[in-house]
Amino acid sequence: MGNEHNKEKHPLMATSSEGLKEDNGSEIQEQETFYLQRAFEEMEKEISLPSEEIFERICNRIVIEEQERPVKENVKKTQGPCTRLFEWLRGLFSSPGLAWGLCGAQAIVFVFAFLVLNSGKPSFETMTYGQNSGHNQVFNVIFKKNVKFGDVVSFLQKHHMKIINGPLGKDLFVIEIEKEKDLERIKKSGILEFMGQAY
Amino acid sequence: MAELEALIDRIALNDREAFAQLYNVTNRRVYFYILGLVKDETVAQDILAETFVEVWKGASRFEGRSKALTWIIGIARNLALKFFKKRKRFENIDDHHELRNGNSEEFAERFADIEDLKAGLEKLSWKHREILHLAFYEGFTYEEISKMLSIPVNTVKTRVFHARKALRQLLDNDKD
Repeated sequence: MGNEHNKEKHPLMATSSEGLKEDNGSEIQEQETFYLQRAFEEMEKEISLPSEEIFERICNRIVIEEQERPVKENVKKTQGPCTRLFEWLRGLFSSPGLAWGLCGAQAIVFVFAFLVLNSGKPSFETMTYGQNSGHNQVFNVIFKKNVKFGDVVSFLQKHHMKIINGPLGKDLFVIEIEKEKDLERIKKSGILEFMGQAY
Repeated sequence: MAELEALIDRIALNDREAFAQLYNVTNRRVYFYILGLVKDETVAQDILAETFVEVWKGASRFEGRSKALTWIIGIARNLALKFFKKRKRFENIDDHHELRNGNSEEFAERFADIEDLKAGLEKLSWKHREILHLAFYEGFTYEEISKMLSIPVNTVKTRVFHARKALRQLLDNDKD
């Protein structure tokens, strides 16, 4: 059977052939296509048609759907603004995209908070960190930049002072000083750049 | 075929007569397609009914970007796939027995025996039968099939190639 004859007999052949030419333009394939169409046609003719009941079933389903639809619409209309807002929010938050977005935002907030909190912590702690007796005077101090570590230690020991917090911010330390100590003398020791009451 | 699109437009306006017409014109075609996939008359009839209920409900959403029959068959296909999911009967085309044996030479003469060919088509996996049905019986272009099955055009071509090869092998094995 020639291709022209096939195309006349089966208009679909033209469409299928276009595709086939992209793959392989062989005549054999075109013949196969023709036989395939015939086989499908015969198979379709051989099937027993769905019963009339099916269409009735479909129509009944449609009637039910239509009866339910106005009820749903009426329910929506009678809802108050709060209920509608709640419904809207529920719809919004049930969206997977938004849920993942919120998860991401939360993760960012946690990471940010962690970094901020950690940045406030002193980079090191003294041995006396947190040992506030509660009955002595407490002062914020900043040591002069050129002061050596050893000088600071002997200064603290000499005046029976201890660092109870710090360094905070710009190298600020919180020290505890016995009540009876001469504050003016400590201030003028030449070691401190700043000294002020801590509250 | 433009008549079908016109019928859908009327259905979108709740025209029952148009719906009955559409059903009468297309039900055999759609039913044949579904039956080819599910191989069970009762299930195919259920899916057919569901399909036309969806057509009624979704007619207003039909924008005419595809042919009406493509749209209806697409709905039927989705419902058939849901059925497969429920029954967990998904088949993997790659490890289907059809491809294991035989050679892939051209056997156009095998196709000439229509009864054998029909038997072969019945034995094909649903994916292979479906692609041959859509490409060679419904006459959909590769582009249309690609959209309907949500797969790339090249995959459609490959699947057609494998389906034909599998069919040839089946026919060849049956002759032996």
